[in-house]
Amino acid sequence: MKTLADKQNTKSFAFLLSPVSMLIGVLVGVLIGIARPDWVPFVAPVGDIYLSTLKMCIAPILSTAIALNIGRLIQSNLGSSYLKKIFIITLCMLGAVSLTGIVAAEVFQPGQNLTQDTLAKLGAIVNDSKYAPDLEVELSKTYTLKEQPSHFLKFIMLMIPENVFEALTKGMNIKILFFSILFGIAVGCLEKELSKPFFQIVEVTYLAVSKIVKALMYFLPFGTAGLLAAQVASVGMDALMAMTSFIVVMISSYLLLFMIGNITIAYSSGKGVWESILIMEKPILIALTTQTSIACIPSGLVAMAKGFSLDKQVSGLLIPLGFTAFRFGNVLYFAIAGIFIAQLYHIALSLDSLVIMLVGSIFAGIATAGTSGILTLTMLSIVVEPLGLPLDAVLVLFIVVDPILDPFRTLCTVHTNLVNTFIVVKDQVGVDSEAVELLE
Amino acid sequence: MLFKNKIKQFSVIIWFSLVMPMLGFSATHAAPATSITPPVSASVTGKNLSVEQKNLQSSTERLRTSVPILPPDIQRILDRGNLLVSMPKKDNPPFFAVDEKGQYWGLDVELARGFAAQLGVGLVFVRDADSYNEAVDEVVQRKTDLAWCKLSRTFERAMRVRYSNPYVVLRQALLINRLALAKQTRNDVPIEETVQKLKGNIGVITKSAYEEYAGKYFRHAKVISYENWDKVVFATAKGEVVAAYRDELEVKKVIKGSPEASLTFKTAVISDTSDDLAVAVAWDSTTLVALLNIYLENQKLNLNADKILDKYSSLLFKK
Repeated sequence: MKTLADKQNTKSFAFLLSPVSMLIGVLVGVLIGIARPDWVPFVAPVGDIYLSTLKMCIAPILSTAIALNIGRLIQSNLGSSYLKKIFIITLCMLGAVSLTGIVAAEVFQPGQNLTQDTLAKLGAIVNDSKYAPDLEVELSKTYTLKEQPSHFLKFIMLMIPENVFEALTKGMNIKILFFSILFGIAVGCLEKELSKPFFQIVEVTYLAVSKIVKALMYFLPFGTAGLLAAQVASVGMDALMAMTSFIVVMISSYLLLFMIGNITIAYSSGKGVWESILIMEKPILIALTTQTSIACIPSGLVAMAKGFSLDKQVSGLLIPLGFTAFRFGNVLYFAIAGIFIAQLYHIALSLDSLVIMLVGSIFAGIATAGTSGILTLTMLSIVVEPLGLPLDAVLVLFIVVDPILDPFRTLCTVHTNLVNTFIVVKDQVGVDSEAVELLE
Repeated sequence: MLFKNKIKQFSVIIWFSLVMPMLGFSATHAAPATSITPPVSASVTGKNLSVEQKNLQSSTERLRTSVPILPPDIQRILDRGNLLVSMPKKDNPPFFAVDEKGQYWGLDVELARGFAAQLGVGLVFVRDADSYNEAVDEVVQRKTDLAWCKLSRTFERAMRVRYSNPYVVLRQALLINRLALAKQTRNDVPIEETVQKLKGNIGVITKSAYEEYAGKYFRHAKVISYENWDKVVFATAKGEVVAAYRDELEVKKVIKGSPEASLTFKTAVISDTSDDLAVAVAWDSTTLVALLNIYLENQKLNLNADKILDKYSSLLFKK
């Protein structure tokens, strides 16, 4: 009886899951952000609470999904062939995304021929503080580096957790990821009988947390409104006007990739483009509103497993891994931003430089794994430093307009990963639907 | 000793009661020759002379006839009736400049006006010098009384002229081409050290104090001199030189004057250096320099680059 009542209850709130409710949430958020910025302090906490609750579920899902799926994959003897496939396809996708950015920036030239007025506005943003110099140097002082330079070795060191439990408690996602992969491989190498209880426990944890996330989706319209209101209110209009060309090229490139991805999925799944978008609606919306790709992992898993009936093991591995480590959106951003800087300083880029930028953008994109926000943008130094381009002044400009671009960057990361997963897994449709049913 | 003092006092009384009336001094106006010290309340612009100043003016006029009382350096100015101030041909706002109506304005102009008013003489700006060193030369050759033109106090110049106490202390600064700096920047070297050991060319104004400073502080760089500051800045923007080297006020003026410059240039203040601005007089003008010091001290200026830029920002950055 009780369960029946529960189901009734759930149904009466089902309208909150509909795209219309989402749209209302988005509109309310944008309107408050534009028209009533004074309401933002009251609305923003709703968004923050929502985001925190969603993030709460990340570490358990990340660790269990990866360990579980990589372990099962290895036991099924399909492991090595799939890993090879994942590696090759992902690398091609990264290259394609980086190339898209470079072509877009070279064709549309966002940093070229800026008017004197625009340059003055940009300069005024950089020159925010009244008379403060950029640097104070004492001739007689010996300076030491505040932080060690980021080397590849350091990045590797950053991936390895000294203490797994510390990584889990502090939410160091890239470390959790690394350990989960190793642990999953190790468990997968054990005898099936021995590892079965472990898989069961992990699966239960995974499914339980997924249920929490699913319940959270009812609150998504409210969270969206709160997050967007704060986001919209924080955008500086001056900066927006001055950086128009950069923003337009960037968002157009993201939308281009978005459409190419949707068409690819629609073509190979036999579903329509609009239907495909609706299936991925939740991860898309969460990406746009939270600007945190890992927050989209649970809904991404559901979309792939339920919506496209894909093999849950590979998608269950590839989605957490990709959302954390393969930051397609950042790769595209770095490629365009790098060329924008070169154009702003009137540096002609040779083919060699473009290749350096292409590869650099991919490395920088991967190096941002686990970071979000402004920290992400500083990784741009990996792209521009080898070319001797100055970053510090322009970085200020990028930071100022980032509230507009971050949603699209996250969307690109999430959506392209979904496409990537689809391409890798599409041959194996609907192998095991038991867990999918449980998820529902 | 006591006796000697008595005699001294007595002779002063005799002098005041007998000699002064003969020279036309009334008892109420009698001001001892030693109190030429200007009144503190004198307005710097010199437009409104106070009653005290008028009194002083008349008293100094009378003093001209009393031959041995005034030191020769002051006497020379009073005889001429004008204070001659050297300033280079090229304006340097906000220190000395001429506006579209032909009016002089700026910190040095205002201070010089106030000083001339206190001396009770007129003020003439002599604008013949092509460089700052030439302005100093004019003082050395006694063509003018002072060089009051944002003049840096350097050792080389101080060998030839006498300086007042500094009235503004600026720090030295670099206006660095961001692109050129990025090429020298290395991952494993702090940016401050890159600036300390700046390589390539450093641009300075020819025959300015910074020619001397640049050779001293930036040994890894080659010093290139340009005719004026605009040309130095232009060369830096083009990348001909890595950095333009001058005081922080000039460097901040460039950035403040054209906002787009902050995309091109990075500013670095060299915090353990100073550029002391002082007034230069001929080496034997000891009283003039003493008067200058008293005058400057009384102004309680307490200035720095930011305050000066603030004070004159409406005149400096008008569009």
